[in-house]
Amino acid sequence: MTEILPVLEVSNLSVTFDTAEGAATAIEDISLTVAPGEVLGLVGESGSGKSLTAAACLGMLPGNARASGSVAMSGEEYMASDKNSLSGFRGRAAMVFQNPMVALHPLMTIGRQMADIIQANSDVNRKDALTRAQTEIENVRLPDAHEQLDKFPHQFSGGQLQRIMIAIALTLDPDLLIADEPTTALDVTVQADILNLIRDLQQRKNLAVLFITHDLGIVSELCDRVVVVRYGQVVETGTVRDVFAEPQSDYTHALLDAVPALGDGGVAANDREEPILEVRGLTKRYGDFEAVRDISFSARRGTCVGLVGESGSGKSTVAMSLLRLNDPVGGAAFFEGDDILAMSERAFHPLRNRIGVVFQNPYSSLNPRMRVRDIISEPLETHTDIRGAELAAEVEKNIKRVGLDVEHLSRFPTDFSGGQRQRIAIARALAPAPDLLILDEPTAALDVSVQAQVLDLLEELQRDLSLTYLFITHDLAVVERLASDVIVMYRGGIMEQGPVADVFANPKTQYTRKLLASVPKLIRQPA
Amino acid sequence: MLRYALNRILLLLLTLLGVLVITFIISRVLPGSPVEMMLGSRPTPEQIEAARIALGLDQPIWVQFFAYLRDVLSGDFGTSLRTGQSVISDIGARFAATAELVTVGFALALAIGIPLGIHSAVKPNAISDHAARSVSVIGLALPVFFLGLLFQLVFHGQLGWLPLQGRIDGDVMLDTPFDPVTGFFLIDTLLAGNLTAFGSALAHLALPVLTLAAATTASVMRVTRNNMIEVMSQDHIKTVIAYGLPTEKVHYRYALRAALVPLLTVFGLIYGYMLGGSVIVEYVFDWPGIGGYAVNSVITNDFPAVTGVTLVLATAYLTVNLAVDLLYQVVDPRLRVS
Amino acid sequence: MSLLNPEQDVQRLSRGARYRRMAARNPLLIAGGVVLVLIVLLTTFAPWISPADPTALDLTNRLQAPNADNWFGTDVLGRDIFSQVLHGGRLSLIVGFMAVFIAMLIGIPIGLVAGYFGGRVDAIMMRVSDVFLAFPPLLLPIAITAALGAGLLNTMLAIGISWFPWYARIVRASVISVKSELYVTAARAMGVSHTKVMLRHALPNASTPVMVQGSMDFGYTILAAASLSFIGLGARPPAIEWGLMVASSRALFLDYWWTAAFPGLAIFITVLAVNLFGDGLRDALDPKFRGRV
Repeated sequence: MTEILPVLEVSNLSVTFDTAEGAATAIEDISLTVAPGEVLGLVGESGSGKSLTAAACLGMLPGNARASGSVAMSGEEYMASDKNSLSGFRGRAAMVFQNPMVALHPLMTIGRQMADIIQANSDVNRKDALTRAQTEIENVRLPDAHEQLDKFPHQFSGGQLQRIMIAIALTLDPDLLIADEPTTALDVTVQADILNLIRDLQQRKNLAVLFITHDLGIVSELCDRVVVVRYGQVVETGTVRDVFAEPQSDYTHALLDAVPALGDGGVAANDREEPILEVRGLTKRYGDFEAVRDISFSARRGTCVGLVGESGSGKSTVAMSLLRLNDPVGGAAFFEGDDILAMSERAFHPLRNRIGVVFQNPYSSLNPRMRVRDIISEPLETHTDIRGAELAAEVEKNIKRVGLDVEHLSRFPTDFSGGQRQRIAIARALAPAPDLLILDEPTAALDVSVQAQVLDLLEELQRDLSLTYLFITHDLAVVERLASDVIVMYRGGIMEQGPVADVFANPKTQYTRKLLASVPKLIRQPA
Repeated sequence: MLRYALNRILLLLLTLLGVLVITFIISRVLPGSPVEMMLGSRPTPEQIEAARIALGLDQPIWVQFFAYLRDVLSGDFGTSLRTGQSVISDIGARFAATAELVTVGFALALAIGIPLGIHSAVKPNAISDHAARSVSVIGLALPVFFLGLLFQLVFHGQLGWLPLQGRIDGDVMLDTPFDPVTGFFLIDTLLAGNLTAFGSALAHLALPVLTLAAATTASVMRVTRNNMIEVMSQDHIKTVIAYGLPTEKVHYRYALRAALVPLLTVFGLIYGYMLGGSVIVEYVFDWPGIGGYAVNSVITNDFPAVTGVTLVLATAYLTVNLAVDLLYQVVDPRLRVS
Repeated sequence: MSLLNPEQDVQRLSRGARYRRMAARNPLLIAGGVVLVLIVLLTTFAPWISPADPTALDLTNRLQAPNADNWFGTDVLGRDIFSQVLHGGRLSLIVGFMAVFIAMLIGIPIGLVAGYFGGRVDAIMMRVSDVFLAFPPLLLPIAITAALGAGLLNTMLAIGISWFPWYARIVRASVISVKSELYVTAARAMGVSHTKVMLRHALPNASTPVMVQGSMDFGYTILAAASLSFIGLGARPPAIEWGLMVASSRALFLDYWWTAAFPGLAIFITVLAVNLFGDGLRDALDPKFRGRV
């Protein structure tokens, strides 16, 4: 029996970088294989080296990287240190990158760029190149292929652009498609479509796929085998079923545990408490564009309400309106009985104390030139007369509450990681002892394991301080974990709302059904 | 697109109005008023008063301004205190000389600066890059007047190759006159088939253009290089490089195209710098253009002339920037509102 | 309890070590800076270190080529050019510096307010700035000094006034991008007043581009001041200033090259040092250019 050659075989790959401080090891001794027609998931958090591995396979490492080890494609072996481009792998492999919005030249039509690429990789004339481009556009299921060729990149949505990137990859006739986090920048429903497309192409053309991601749910749904990496080393390899059902390493185990999965149950609804926040008919327009339309909901004291939607749903606009950071055109919002939208700014000012906010991007929400101590004390300085030793004590209390040290107070935000910065942001929000906390996608920018820690912290704080949360997110699993009630938004309007258990078990609208179905499910049961 | 153009033209007119306000303020309101200048030494109070009334300086400010506005819009920039001619005709007579100098200088700067900038960006830290950047840094640090004098010293004083100043040999002009069709001597002499005159014009043009172009080329090169480097690090370039597009194509078709968009604005600015520099160059080389006229007027406190020149140059500059803005719309499809 | 390691504290170098590393990677910054400091020192201490009195006439020693006694030669009145160059530097440097300072003084608040408040305020302020920007550089200073009269104080004012729109623009652009940062939103959500947000959050984060621009402009203002003196609008005799020195040599320099060469070179070297320093500063501070000296 002839041995079937793996489409990709990486052996003992190591990559170090030349930096000013000496050599820094990014990847250490990684080995993996991809069989023909197989989908291999390469999973890791940020800094694990997964993207670098893919770049190394194709000889596309940055200039100051030193690689050792070998890579073989369909048996043809070469050193990882060889420099190459995708053209060098024509007929064998192609790659799809993460952010399709910036991957194409903004000033030239799709058709032109595709034709240029096709002509750069095969000996065809312009007309044939355009025909080929059109064929591949059809292959990725974009309608009206002929017209699409004449459009510019900015005329397409993110999902459509990613299809085009896949089409471009297909023009190289690859046996192996390397996809580096291709759906991370896309909405959940769009992601589902792209994953379906990849699965479809994989089956039709017997493509092998090396799928790089941090999302274990995608791996569970799409991949046959999985390689888990951490800090540049392989932690575990095996079939998805085996590894997810019985992870051999502690890291994999903890990683699986950290992923909030749908179906884990929910938080019990609390009918007894009075609403602390009641929104009625909130509307916000920007010129002709209706960002938010007739939004009504209420949040009971001490509970967590999840506000769910994809990009463009208006969920963040609702938050901004409640914080009076934009001026809603219509509606009312009663906070503890008073309509905060109708008040003057002067009357509202003291209430800002009682409504805290935590934003999504921990790298943008802290002033890089302010010390942590000053960041946390700012709300207290604005609203109270507390100064001096008393202020310092308050600040210390809050920094410890979020699991950080007093000695961190004299540092600057740039000294901290994403998760730590988010803790600082939470400390800042808690400093004036608010009743209501608005959290706008607070964990979206964090790694899975860090996300779990921050969610743990938020859960704990809510319990200990009897806080009410308005938790804005696109991640349904997180909602299920923390919230008792959920509001589903789409394009500025509320699709449905109610207790989490009810809505998730029996969604009444098609959109909610679609949303629930699009979430990649992480299956941990053995076959 | 049309609406945008109209919008921008409106803005231009508004800005010009602002420019007029400023030139008005400079010429009338600031101390060192024209009256004293005109009356020479130790005028009597009665003389001053009479002159003021004659010049309309006793009227309220806004009346004066509207009179000024009216004059300017009807093309009357006043009379030069120095030449006695109307300012507008003075400027008109000298316009072509400056236009020729500035156009050739700018074209040269772009023709040399852009390819050098691209080359530098494409091979950063190579010897040629360092050399080019050194030259560029030097070009930007040299005072224009000093460079001009230096050129005169070397090419005229020491080597005797090129004339010291002026636009063309006086003798050549007399012996073999040619029709000033465009006002550009280089073109007109060729049109007339007068090769001696062409040679003379070219020789006279050489040093001023080189002086003017030196700093401008340095600017163009540096800005092109920086923008190209920026563009080359962007993802869309990395994509086409990854897909094996030949380097020539990547640099000139893809990268330059993307870099051109922000570069256009900067080129407009550089053009402005050059207009400012042309004033000095014309002074050094006795070039019979608007710049030289401006300096001579300034030295003799000839206000109508100074303000007239300022207006003309500001308008030229604004027009160039308007053209750049409109060009933007054409070049960048993202800006086209469909 | 989680089995995953809590995130490690990123070890950072102390500020001093970071600056030293930054300096090591940017030799131009050091070179430019050193030369600049040297020039400032030389011109500041000119009265003590110059070999001769720059105003001392010596008609028997006129127009001597550079020699052992007069390193840079003598001028038409027998004055030692080397001493003149040393003394003249002060005015050029001061005028250049003050012009940038004035431009910043006017431009920064305008840009701050325009960028922060946006809307009408922004539109009006930018339109006004645009009017100043409509003049090709040098032209407005020429016109203003023509009206105010020659003299270095007027030159300083004229250049500063015509230069402020650049700082307004830079600060405005900076503030606009800072405005979209979430820490500004957070501060507003907290109820921090507009003034405090502008001064505490917006302005400090706009300081880097302003500093970089300022150091690059310094070279330009020195050139502008010298150019204005050259055409007779800046320093007037008996002041000693580099541009003025070149101007007064114009009749002679073809035969007596040193009368123009040395003051011109002085300007050139100073501006070169300033530009290198400014470039180095930008390379060091601007993350896009890091590693690309």
